[in-house]
Amino acid sequence: MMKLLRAGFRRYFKNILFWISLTVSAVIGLASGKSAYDNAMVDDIYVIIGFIVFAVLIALMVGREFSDGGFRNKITLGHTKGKIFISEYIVALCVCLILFFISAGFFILLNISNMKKILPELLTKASIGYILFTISMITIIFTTSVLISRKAITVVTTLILVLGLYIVACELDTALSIPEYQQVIDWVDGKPVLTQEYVKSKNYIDSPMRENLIFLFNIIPSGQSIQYYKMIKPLLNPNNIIIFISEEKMQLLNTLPYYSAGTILTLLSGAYIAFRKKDFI
Amino acid sequence: MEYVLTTSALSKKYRKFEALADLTMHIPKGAIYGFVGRNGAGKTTLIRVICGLQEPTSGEYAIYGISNKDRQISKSRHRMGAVVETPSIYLDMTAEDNLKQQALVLGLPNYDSIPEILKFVGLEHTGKKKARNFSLGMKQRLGIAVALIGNPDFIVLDEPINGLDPQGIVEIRELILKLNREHGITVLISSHILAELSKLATHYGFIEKGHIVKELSAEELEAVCRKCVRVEVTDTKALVRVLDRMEKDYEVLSDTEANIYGEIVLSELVMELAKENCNLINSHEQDENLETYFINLVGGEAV
Repeated sequence: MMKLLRAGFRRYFKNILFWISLTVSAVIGLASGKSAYDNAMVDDIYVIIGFIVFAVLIALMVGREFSDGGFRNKITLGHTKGKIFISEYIVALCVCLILFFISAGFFILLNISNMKKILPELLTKASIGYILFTISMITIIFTTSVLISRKAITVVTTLILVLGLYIVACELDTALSIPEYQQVIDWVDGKPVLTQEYVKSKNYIDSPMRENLIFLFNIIPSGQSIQYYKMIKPLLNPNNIIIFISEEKMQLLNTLPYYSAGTILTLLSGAYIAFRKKDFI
Repeated sequence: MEYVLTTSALSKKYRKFEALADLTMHIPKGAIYGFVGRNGAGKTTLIRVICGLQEPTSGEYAIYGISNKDRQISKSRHRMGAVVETPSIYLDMTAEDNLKQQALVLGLPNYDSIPEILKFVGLEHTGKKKARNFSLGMKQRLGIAVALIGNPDFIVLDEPINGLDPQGIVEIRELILKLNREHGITVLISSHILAELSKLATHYGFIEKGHIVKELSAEELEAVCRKCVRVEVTDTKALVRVLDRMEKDYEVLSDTEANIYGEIVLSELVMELAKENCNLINSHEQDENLETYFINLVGGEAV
């Protein structure tokens, strides 16, 4: 396994794509950090750009292992498909986490004064959650890449997946944000006036569909990204003196990592089994 | 005799199509084993199976005596190198980088053998040129270099001269002969180009419809390849009557030509033909070559 890991890391570090991705990640970190520092604006679009970088990098590197015969060569030399899969995943994961930490590092550096005000427990849980949903997204991209043998199709598919999941997450966020009851507005002398009357929102999604959508929203990495962004944004506001979040959001911080862990384990297990059964022709 | 590779009733099925059917073969140590067969006969499928890229449906194979069902097969594979269909080279790396990459995959302690291998395959002057800018012949040679980096005893080459120009073919041929004669490496080579294979192989395996039809050494092949005399006459019907009377083995090729196998006294033939008012226009001796032997073995058109 160590042989495969060393060879894998060398392959990534020797490739110009890695260095371009590193530069883009640094820029993302700086841009998002500055935006947060100047305007208290933490925009989740930076996270999506980061995911796109991961998608392109992993899809091309894994795709090349298929097209250039790297996997074929390793199997011929006696390495088992299981070891090849695990080593390839570890390398892809570590490389992407390097990019993530560089990006996060610049963000934290630019916002350290505001972040010091956040409770350590809160900061730790949010950090773990962020790392886990990033790993979850990396796992989705990786498992897609190893199951599709063709480089070009892999790149397109993973990009569509990243953007598609983000769009789905945005739609779910919108749908789930509709309040159950809305205040009735009356018109007095041509001006809108809020009454004491409440009516059920037409577009409110009831149970059990609501639970299913919440589950989906929590399991999609982009969905978690939106939820973390909503939690963290007010915390980074330099004008805020008291940094706390509601019990409900604290509960969410405790449970979201388990969704990520579940996604990672399920996808990896399935992809591992499928990869081992694959014929390399 | 020691065998590097043996297969026993090896089969590979894709749904209803049987690519390999009870294939049994033996590759002696130190041989250049020429694997001959038509398109779709099963050559590449067999190579993929023995390289571990595909699992057989039934049967087994052994590399250096270790069965594919044994977990220790991976140790046998360390003694093997292969170029399956296309060379396994990273196109965005130089020749040297490709070999360094392979050295890491093999777990070699250093890169000391790389300059020697590059020189051996004639790629020592490629410098910083990326593999994607190599000619097809250079890519094939790099693929062989990658297969050699682990110092294998057994190397598998699947159609290594396909698409090469005449010079490229000569270079690969000389490389394979050098590997075998100077380093004692056993080579399994599959090829359509029988004329080229006949210059290389010490042993042959003929495959047809996933089944080994015949295995024999180059010496045995030479012995069985029949000598014949090709004659051109004015009347093949008359020739046939004469040859039947003389109890000779023959094959009519056209209205005017025929092959006569075995010993024949031409003067006697001419006299007998004259009795039938038939003239002998031309005659020359001909050896059955690998191609004609193969065609006669499996029937049908040339590969």
